[in-house]
Amino acid sequence: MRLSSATIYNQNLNSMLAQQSEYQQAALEVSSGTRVVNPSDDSLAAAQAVTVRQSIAANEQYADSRAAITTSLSQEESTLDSINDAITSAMSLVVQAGNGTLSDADRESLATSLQGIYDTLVTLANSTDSNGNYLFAGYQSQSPAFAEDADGVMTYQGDDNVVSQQVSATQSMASGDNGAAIFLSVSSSAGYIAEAGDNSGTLTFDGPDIADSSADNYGSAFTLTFSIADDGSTQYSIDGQDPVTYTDGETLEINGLNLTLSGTPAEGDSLTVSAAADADPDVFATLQNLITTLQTPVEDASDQAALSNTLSTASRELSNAQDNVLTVLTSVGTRLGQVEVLDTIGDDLALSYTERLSGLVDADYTESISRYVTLQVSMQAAQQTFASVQQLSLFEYI
Amino acid sequence: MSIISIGVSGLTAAQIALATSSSNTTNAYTDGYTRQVATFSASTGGSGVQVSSVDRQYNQFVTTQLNNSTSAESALSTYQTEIDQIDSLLADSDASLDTLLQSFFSAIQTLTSDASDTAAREEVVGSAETLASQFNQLGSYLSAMADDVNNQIDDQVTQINDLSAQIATLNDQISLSGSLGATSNDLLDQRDLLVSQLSELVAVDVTVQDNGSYTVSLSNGLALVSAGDSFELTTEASASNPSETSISYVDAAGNSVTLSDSVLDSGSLGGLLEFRDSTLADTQNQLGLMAVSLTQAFNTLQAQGIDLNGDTGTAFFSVADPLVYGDTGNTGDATLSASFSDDVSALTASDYTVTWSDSDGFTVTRNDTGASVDASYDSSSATLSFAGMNLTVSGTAEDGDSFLVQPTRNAASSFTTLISEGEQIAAGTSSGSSDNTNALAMLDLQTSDIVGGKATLSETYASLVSDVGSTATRVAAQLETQSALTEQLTTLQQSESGVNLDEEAANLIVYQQYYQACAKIVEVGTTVLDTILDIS
Repeated sequence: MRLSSATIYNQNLNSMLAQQSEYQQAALEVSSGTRVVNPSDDSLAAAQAVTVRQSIAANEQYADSRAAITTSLSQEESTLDSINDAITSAMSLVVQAGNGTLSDADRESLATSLQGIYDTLVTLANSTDSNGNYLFAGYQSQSPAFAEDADGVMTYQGDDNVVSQQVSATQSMASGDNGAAIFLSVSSSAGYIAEAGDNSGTLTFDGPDIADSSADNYGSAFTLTFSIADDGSTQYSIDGQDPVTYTDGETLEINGLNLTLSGTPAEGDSLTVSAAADADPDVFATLQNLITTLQTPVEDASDQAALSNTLSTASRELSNAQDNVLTVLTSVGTRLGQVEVLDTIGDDLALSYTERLSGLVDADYTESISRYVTLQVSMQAAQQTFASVQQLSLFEYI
Repeated sequence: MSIISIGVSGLTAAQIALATSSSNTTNAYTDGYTRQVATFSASTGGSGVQVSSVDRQYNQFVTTQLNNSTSAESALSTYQTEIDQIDSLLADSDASLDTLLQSFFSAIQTLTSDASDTAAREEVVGSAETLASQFNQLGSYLSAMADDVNNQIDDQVTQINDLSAQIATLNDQISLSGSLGATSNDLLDQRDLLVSQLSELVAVDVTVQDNGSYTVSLSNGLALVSAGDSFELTTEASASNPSETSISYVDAAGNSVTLSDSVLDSGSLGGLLEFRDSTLADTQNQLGLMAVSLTQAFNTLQAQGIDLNGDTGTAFFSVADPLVYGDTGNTGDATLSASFSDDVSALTASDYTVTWSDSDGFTVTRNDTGASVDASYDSSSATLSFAGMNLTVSGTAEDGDSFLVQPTRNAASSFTTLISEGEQIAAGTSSGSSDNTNALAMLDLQTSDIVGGKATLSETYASLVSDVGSTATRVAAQLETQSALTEQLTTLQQSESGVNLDEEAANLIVYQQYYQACAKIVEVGTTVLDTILDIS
């Protein structure tokens, strides 16, 4: 075919320019290490990269959440350990207080020790995190979890909520526990509590213990009210039913629970038995009650009975409180363990996402460098061709 | 016949041939130049040689093919120039929209760790503002592109009119010189060059008339040039959408006809129109859809929550309401004002046309698919609801009135953060300062299908990237094919009409020798004559 000089020139020039542009592209790929920058470089990979980057970002977010949760839970764990220690100390003081040889002054001194433990517990209950948020106040983290009300009673000021965070794509986790769950609750395995009224007789009790868990009304709360019959005998009535004659040292089985009663109740004395969970558990009230009782001088048999009954009730309540704290502690430990597992999974995911992203957008050096070199050679060839073809002209010979 | 006059006829012919070759040589690289060849013929009665004509080596068929291919290539190359800008706009970087969306949600995640932390709250506000400003930048850039495209359309229409007028003038000159019997090759070259330049702007059909003048018409048959007359194209704001330029044809009687985009589907003008109506509009609408979805989802959650001051949350973001344009041809006085409904799950990235007919009331169609859309009209409040929007009608529409609704066209550029203080974030649903339940719900939006009820923000962005990327790739591939075809046709056209310098060098040598030979004849003739004169 006949070629015009302009065609020869343009074709050579265009081929050289095309080589140059491809060469530049390859050089850029080698120097940046990235194959896909603009969507048009590889639209499918670019779109997938957006999705993978989103997954990476979400995965990092969950990791951040878990780091924050680990910090909170670790602080809670050590706080709960201290609370557990304080309750243990209180329990041993209760055992000491049961010693019949103690004088009023000895009991006063025990009361002072218990007051110290009480103050420690209040401080622990009002622990704050590094941002000054109260750990155990639920959502009301800006005010102390516990404070004394107008009557001097330690009252929970937080709410029943716990802050949760998303720790993985599918799981959210509480980053703490509220004060009500720690100080105003018992674990589900807690038993039964008997509490004497403001009695003036010398009635003391032992129990309650479970006698027959298949009995009718098993576990239902009941109140024994004592009265002196016209014939001078002592009677008791269960929840206001017909009175029954009372015998000192007798073991009663009511609602499947055994309760051994001794001493002489006075008219109007009472005794309430209920499941620990229904007896308004409150470790601060228990300790306050104990302290008040220990500070009361024992002057007669009825004071002695009151002391004995309070110690007996407090002992069970403190034991329940401790069980409860240990239950929460276990749940904290479990959550920390879960976070660790999720961290491992998260790290694995991060690695596989990163590899996937790299596969989508990063340059394959072997491939891109060899292409770079090939293009370099062919561009040089195009330049040489251009130069030599332009020299060929018949005019050179005229 | 005298030997001398025979020799002289050869000398004359050689001079014409040498002049032709010289002209070819000097114009070897001139655009639009057509190689000329001097044709020799023997003079009648053995009186030597004559140059019967100096012809252009021209092939109308190949030239027409080349012009068509140039039109198609020009459309693609214009499209590529424009879409490359969007392609770069969506390139992966630290400031790309998906990265900023991730930063925003990451800040919300930090907030869920401690909702009472004012620093974390400020971080959320800060990253929301950064996100909004990136939406604005993208939106403004795209709006500026739309303005620029409309300006280019104006410019190109002006150029088309110029070229048409010049071709008409040349038609006159060529038919005049033809009637005088001396067709000028230069004028023909000029006219063909103008037609080729016109083909770059818009696809045209050329018909050659008996008197040699060109009739140049658009693909729908409307003539731009007929003999010595040219007819103008004009631009004006589109009747349905005043923000867009539409093109009209003005006929001999002065009536103007609006040209549909399909008439102008080739040439750089066609490329501009197609880009404006497809990729540009789609990108603007998609980004806007993301902005609207984000706004509605966050504002809904804000309204359900309580901020750090204990007050019900206020709107987090705002976007402009949907745009509604009444057609300029409407005869009624109805106007529609649109707003987004709280639930925008039915919203799409399409534009809509609302039409009133006396028999059927309001009907709504999607502009991208042409499908009709379910719309409910509440006559008590005069509100038309469809696709996540409420349109309040005021005034009275007449039969056939139509309205263009662009739900999300301007949303990205108008997207703003209304919350300026971290404490205004309604992270909780109670007054507790550590209540993070609402913040958790906000974080959940990251992975919820809040865009059109079927995609997450990230997925929507990914599909935008994929759409733009694949269109850019497709256009680049088509352009490569079309360029190859144009190059082939150029080579073919040049093989006939182009100048080869070697060939001209050879011609120069040949005709120089020929000139010398003819001069020799004259010399011989003179010698012969002298001999005779000597005898006498």
